[in-house]
Amino acid sequence: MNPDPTSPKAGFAAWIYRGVLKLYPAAFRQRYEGEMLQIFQEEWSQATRDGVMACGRYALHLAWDVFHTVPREWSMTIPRVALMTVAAAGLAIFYLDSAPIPFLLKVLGWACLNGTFAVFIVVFSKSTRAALFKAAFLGVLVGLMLAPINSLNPKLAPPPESPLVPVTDPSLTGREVYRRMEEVYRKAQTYADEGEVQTVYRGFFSSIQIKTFGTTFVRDGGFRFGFRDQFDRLDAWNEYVIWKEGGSVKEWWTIEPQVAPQKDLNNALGGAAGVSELTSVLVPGLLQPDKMSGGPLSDSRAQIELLGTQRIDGRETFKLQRAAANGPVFTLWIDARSYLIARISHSSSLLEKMRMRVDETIIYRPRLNPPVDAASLIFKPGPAPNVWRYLFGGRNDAMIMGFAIVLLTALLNVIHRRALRRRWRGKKELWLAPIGRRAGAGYVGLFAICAGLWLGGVGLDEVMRNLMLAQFMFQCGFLLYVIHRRSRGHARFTMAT
Amino acid sequence: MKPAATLSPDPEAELPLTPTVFNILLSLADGEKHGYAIMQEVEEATEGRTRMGPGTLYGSLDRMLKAGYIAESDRRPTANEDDERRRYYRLSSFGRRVLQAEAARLARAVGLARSKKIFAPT
Repeated sequence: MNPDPTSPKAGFAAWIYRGVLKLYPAAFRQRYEGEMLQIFQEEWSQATRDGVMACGRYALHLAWDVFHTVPREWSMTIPRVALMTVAAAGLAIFYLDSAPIPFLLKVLGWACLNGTFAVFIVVFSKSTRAALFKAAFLGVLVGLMLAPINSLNPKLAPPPESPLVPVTDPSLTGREVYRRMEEVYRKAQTYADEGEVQTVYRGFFSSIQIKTFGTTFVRDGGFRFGFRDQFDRLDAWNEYVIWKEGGSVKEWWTIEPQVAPQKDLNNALGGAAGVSELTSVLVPGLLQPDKMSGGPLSDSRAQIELLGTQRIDGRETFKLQRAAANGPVFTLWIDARSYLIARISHSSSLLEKMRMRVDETIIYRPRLNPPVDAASLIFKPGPAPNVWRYLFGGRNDAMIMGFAIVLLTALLNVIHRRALRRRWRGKKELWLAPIGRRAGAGYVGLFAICAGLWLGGVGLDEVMRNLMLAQFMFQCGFLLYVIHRRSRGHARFTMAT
Repeated sequence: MKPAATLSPDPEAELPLTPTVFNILLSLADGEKHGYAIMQEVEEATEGRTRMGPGTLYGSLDRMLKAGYIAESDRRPTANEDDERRRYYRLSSFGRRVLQAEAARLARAVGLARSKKIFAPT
């Protein structure tokens, strides 16, 4: 039965199907494209004669055929070594978390990372080659752990510094420089700054987090401090504002989006110290030492050492080290002309055994006694957040992707359940598949617990998202494993057909 | 086409076959056919229960060729007989033995079911 060549619809559909066939590996396409297209034309021609419903049914049938045969053909075409290389590359991408790479690539990195579980299962087969693959893969993993790969990421490198020049003036001690700096802030009538905090987490999974902040201060007048950071390094901002005018002190935070009156400024700024990486108390504490006691830079017994002078960001600065008895060791760069702080850095260890360290650098762009207009002191709380947006990273496309991930996870669960129940009943590997009603109930429970925690203000939305993502990736990894097992079916011939 | 060197010569080692592979082998049991004819015969024989898409059909044929179950026929249809672009496939001797082994296995299973009166009216 030949298709009607005069039918323009058949021609258009064939054109589409010809495009779809490009999804198959080239070798497979070259061998079978002509015949597949011919079959399509004959069946489509029959479907068009049978009506619209028949066309719809055939289109669905064909979509399913393409959906499950394309990955299978590719899995048989791509050498295992290439798959392992992709997995290793994905892991490297994940490792270089803060590298300027698209978010989707990071997701792929996650996929490969979670997929490694499935890759390791290959070891259980008797194939020597599989064992070699595992050895190579483990080698890559260990190599990544040991290699100084952080140096490949320019963002994780320490900020550039010019050579340190010793101070020759014997009267200029660290304490003297520090005293002059304190005096400048204490006597400032107005003050404004902008800056950023760069927090670099160094360890196996290094990453960088950047928060920006700004301060506006009028002595015996208004005060405004604000900072913001990004949700999961996306372009949705988490904002925190502390504002004072007269006796009224208010604060607003995206995470707790209501205007909250505060007892006093000291209390409000102290409350934000942790989330603002100390920026809410460092300079404000120097501006009002009489009103803000106990700030990290206020301990008069701290040991202060002048290390020398250094040019940073085009400015001549004094480099000081300040060590308090029960606090972190701060390194300060103080502008040699204005005695305003240009930069502060400090480090802390998170988990000594895992070599986890946090390096924090606060960069200031300060202005002493600038004219302050009323607009810069206006209290501007942000818009009320959309609950659902924050569940998936604060951005609409991230939210859509998040829901898609949940749906795909559920779909994969169903597919696995059906496929594995039928074919893998009683097989030892079945326990590895998180499938079935109990697993489904587990997903729902997990979702509910995390959503509950989030709604309760605990803010574990990221945890939930990552758990769902990890679950989805695990399912993908397991699917790859199933495809792999079946692709080895030349010998056993358990083909997925 | 000879079976691949890595294959066991014992047809029993290839069992069980998937329904699609079994049906394709079965459709070739009475003579060589081209892909579309195989697809139609399988659909008719299974009363529409096994409906293969082109990807499934040619993916399976490709693997069956490599496994030595089937071979490509040298015969090419003439232009007036059929589309000369079509390839014809035939059952290899190894494929026939595998088909026989699978059919025997299924027959044993059906026999067992009969002995347990599974088909008896309830």
